[in-house]
Amino acid sequence: MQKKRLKRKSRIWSLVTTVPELTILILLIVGGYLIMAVFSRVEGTPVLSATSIWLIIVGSFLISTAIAILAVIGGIGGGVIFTPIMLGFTTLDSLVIRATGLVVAMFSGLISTGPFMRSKLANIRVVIYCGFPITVGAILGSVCAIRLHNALGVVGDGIVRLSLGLLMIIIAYFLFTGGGKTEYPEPKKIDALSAKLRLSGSYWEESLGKVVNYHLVRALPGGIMFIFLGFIAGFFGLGGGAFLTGTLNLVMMAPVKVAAACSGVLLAISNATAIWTYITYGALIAIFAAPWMLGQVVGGILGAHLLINIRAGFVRKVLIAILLVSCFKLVLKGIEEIFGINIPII
Amino acid sequence: MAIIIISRASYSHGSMIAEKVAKELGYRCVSREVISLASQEYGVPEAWLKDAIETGPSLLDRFKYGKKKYIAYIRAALLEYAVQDNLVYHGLAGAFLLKGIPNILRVLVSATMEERVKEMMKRLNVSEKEARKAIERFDKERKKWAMFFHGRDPWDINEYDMGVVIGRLSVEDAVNKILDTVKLPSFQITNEIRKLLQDEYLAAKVKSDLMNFYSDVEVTADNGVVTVHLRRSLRQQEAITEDIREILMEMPGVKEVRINIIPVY
Repeated sequence: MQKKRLKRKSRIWSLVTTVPELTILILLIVGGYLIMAVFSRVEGTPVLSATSIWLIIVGSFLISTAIAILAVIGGIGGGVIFTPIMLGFTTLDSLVIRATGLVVAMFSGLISTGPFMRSKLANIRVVIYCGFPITVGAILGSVCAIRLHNALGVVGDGIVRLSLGLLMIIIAYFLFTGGGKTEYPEPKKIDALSAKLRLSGSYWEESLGKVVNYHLVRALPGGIMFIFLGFIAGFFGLGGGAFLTGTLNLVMMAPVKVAAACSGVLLAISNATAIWTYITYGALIAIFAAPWMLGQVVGGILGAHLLINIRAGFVRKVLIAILLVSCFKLVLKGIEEIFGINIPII
Repeated sequence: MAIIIISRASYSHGSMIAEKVAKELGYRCVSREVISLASQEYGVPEAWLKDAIETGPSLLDRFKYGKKKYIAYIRAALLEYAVQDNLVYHGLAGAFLLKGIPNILRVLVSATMEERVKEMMKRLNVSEKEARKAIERFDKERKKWAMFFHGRDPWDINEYDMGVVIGRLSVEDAVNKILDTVKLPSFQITNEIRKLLQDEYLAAKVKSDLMNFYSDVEVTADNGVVTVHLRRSLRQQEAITEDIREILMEMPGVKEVRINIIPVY
């Protein structure tokens, strides 16, 4: 046993050799910021000094990396942690937070897209079909977010915080109970639309030692739900991966592995679309978003390869507890902004 | 060719019954030996294992996997005896540890409260009040243990194939009743059951080994093909697969390792 433990300690080194892109990425990040530090003049503003700006960049990168590692271990998306915490506990502009939240969620989905597609767990036909409604919903959501911000200002932000706080309670409950997933759902009847769209596929299930064939059903209600889920993602700047997986698994009857893999890809697609509305509005600040984005990539790869023995259930519960605290803070802050009052609680 | 598991309430003459049954049948009779074997194989002090199987979980135990790991060790040790067949095991949790394996005769041996109190007073030289209180505490602890680890009431007769209550039945009558029942075809260990026991034993051994690294692991086995079930993010599948294969590479009896990552979301 001791020998096994010693062998396992070399995992960090094996990561350097087996995932060279991670090493290259880390070197590029360090190099890039060093070049910036040496050659580019970072000037302070009346609000922030140059040192504070550097601290924000480095701090954001480190926090983002930590969030991504925890998110992978706990099986929770990065965006669903980032956005509520930032909206609840900071005074940054809500549109900037939501735009950055979309970047965080998008990259946490993007880094898993390649492996899921290669292993054929993510079904391209399902992704394309669900990609359309989710994209429409995401654009609608992001446009509405900006319209609401312009029309109501602080009160609009209050409405966003309050409704996000309430939504997060549902998400936290969903994450806590696991959504009642079924590993290999067996649809009784395949509806005409699903059959016509040929939303079916197969993948090699190693644990069963055989190929699992599946056929998705309820294409129409599933598609409508994806419009709604896309709207939530675009409006609040969340990924909502748990909802996507739940819809694919419980409504459209995809095997849970296929649902989880497809939702990772769909997350990247919907958020990449929604983010354009925020970019054109000027809500995405590159110097703030970049370290968060890089942290997601580095943390995502680290989380997938290291700390694999940590109890996922425990980390998940800790993250859900953090989410619940954020919900409380969001609701309070939302009420304060809507009614212009000050609630004297921490 | 049979396996008899006697779950006994404290001071109910269960061990005496088990020894007599084993003697009549010419079978091996084990109880504490299972804990000793687990202690030797996994390098854990006997006292810790005994505590894991005798006392209910504390508040802290509900958040960690220590006791679950020790119970997995004890189960692997019990199965090591079970695969050798012709066994009478008497202890606290045998019926739960071998749950799901058919054709094993599961007996609940209890006694009337008066009988138990009398026995305890005789053995430990304590007052009636002290004996009654201690027995009530043991029973409560036992129920807490079974409810937490198995979600079942240990005093529910539906969990067993038969029950005997000493005080209403004599020890000799109880022994005869068990001897009559074990002859029934439903309690014979067939080749099919023998294979199932081998699979369960291999799975239990693998689980015990893996629990040092993956505390929430579940394992199934079929003819040397071991399937490891874990609830994790799909993104960790590759790393976990590689790691578990490395751990199980040299384990005797393991022909193939399959990993089933059940995605969490």
